[in-house]
Amino acid sequence: MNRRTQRAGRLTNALVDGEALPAGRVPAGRVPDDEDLAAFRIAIALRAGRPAADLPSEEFVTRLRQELAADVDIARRPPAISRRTVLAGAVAAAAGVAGAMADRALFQHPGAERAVPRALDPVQGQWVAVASEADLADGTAHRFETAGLVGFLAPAGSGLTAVSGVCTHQGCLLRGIDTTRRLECPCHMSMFAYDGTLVGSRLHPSPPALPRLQVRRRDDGTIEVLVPPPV
Amino acid sequence: MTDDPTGPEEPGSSTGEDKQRLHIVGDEGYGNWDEIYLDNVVRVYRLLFSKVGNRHDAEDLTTEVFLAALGPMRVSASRGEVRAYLAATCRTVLATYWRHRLGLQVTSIDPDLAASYLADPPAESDAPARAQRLLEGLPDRHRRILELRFLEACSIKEAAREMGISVANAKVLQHRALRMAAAAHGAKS
Repeated sequence: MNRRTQRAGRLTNALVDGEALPAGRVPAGRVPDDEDLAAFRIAIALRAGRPAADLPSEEFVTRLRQELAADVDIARRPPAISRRTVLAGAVAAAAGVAGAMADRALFQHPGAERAVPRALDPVQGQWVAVASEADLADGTAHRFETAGLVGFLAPAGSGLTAVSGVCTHQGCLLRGIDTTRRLECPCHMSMFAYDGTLVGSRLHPSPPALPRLQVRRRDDGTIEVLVPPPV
Repeated sequence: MTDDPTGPEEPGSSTGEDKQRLHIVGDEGYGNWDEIYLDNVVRVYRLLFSKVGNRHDAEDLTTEVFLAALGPMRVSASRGEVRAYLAATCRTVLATYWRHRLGLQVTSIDPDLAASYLADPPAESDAPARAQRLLEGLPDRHRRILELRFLEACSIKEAAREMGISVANAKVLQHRALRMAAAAHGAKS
């Protein structure tokens, strides 16, 4: 069998043996040509035609249901690790595919980024008022800008968190998504929790957690953040 | 995509009446996210499965769809709106999946197909019938290897044994059979 047959077969065989495609992006030299692609499409159509194969398992449905229920409730439970990590790992385990977790291209795993983000500690930092308690009344993040940085304030338990509002990947400004209580990067869709932890990303390697900022609340309800001097 | 064997066989082939039936949906909505999920997870999964052909990716993409859709979707939306939104999300999620993996669209979701999978009641999968049609007209041995491998879930060893050939021969036969089926399908479109 020649090499091209082998390469084309690799995609199809993964499929027909019930495996997902080989994880990660297929290298440019191995992208199927038109004929291989047509054969691969046939393989998908045939595989999808296996009687009663297209129903999800009870286990999957239940597990995803629980994860989504937790996700909707995230104000009360900031994730220590990303839910996609948990779910992808569970799916891989259930399928008996050893070691698949690290390679799932759809769901990145923050790995070391699970560590608590360090707080920004500028040498000539200044405490600057950026918001009042009222701005945080609805439980969602409040974006602020000073002459030295942009960031997001959010309630956290009985306290507050403040994080940089710049994506640690390439410097795009993050936007707050109130409904899911996430900070999202419009450039590559990386998602951070309000405390700066990376929640999900398709990037290789994963962007680091957002730098945390020191924050304090004054008696009169003003919230101040320790920021660098103006640029 | 006319050469996509997982797509509708004639794009836009629904009759006017069918189209109308597909688009009349109840005005009532859902009470909460959980209801949205329970009512639609199987529909979404089946649609995605028909496009990727394996359980792992169908599960991953289903997860992706619900994670993506939960945020922007209003619980107060009507059932029809929710399903339309989920269908659109399925399309995007699938397109992104192929783009990231292969840099090209292997299969795609036609809006009418998505609507039929998400409808009330959802369309019966025509994938088994379609698979049979793809196999018709193939020489016996070529059809047999594809049946054993794809429809009967045999390993390459089992299929080879069943057919009384070597594993190497079985691999080549499978490869050729797929090509043949692809050429025959392409010739019809």
